[in-house]
Amino acid sequence: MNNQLGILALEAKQHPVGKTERRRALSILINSIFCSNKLSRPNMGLPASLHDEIRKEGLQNLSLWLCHNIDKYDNTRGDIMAWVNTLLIKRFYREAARSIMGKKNEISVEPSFWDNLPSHNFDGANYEKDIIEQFQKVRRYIETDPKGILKQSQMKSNPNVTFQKIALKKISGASWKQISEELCVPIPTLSNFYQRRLDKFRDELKSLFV
Amino acid sequence: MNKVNNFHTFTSPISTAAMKLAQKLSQQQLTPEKSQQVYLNSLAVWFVKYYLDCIGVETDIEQSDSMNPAQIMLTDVADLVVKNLGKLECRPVLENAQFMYIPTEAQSERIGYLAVQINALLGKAKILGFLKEVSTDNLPINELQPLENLLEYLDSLELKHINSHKLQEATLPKNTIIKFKKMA
Repeated sequence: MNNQLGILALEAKQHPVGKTERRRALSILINSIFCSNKLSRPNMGLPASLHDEIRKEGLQNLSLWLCHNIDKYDNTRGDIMAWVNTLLIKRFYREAARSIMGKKNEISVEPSFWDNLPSHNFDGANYEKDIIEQFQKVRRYIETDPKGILKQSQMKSNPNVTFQKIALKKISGASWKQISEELCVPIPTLSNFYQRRLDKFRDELKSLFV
Repeated sequence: MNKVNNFHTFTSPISTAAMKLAQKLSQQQLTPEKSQQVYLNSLAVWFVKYYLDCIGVETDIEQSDSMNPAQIMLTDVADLVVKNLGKLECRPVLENAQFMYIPTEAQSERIGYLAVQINALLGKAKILGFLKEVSTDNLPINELQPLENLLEYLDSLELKHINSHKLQEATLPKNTIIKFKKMA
């Protein structure tokens, strides 16, 4: 088994970054590691739920790191799972523990979540801060329709059916089937109308967040 | 070197941070139905993003409707933009589900569909497979293609993108020269 994992690592190393063969080998390698039951489970003396959080965070960061640093794997220096487990215990559990336990009292997602993802320029902390307010703005806008444009947006064949009416049902999580039954309009007609109008209002809705 | 194993699915833990983000987004919704939808969509999208990050496929989560508060509320989308190529729809499915549900709003402008089995209780997920196109709202899970096919498909799309880019570069200077000649 470990030998097979080693072969996969070598296979990945052999192909340049971005090649399908490399992506394929990395996919199977990570999948096999997670399904292997050979990952260390050190006793950190922590409550089970906290331990679980740290473990998941550590494992995900480890797998990302492995995929981007597979060229560092040296098969002459021993078994791949020994290498993986050393990394896990010496580095990724510790980092995850520090990031999770250090921020236990904060509500927001640990910055490490955003930091550890390669090549992104997404401001996670700000996104989270703003999102609650933005959801409220959307909801208020749909409910109050300050410009009257959502009510005016009527279905030609059935003027009783407006964009606003459908939107209010969509924000409540109603399925197309339910909405179709309530408004007595077939799903394709309904969803086509809604989708076209939603595209039209896209910029208007975006302007709520500026 | 011989090819090792077949590659159909991808399983991994869901990060705690992804769980917390999904909870945060879902808590702001008006009904339990909408909360559940937003929660699962968010987990599915971030899980696929994590997988693509692992194998070095660049994504642009910021341009994805699944992160846009208005689109989250007003539609049932779980899209993830793959840089230069287009949107992948990451549909969540629950354990033992026989079908993958694709609402009409997620059936256009997509380069492909992935089914992501979410086990929120155990905190893990599994990408079950992929399809380029769908023509029904409820797709039987057993009609999905192995994930391996996604890699070949992305490769062909990347190649197409590079070629069209090269073509543009190759034609631009020529036009410029012609212009110069005319001017002279």
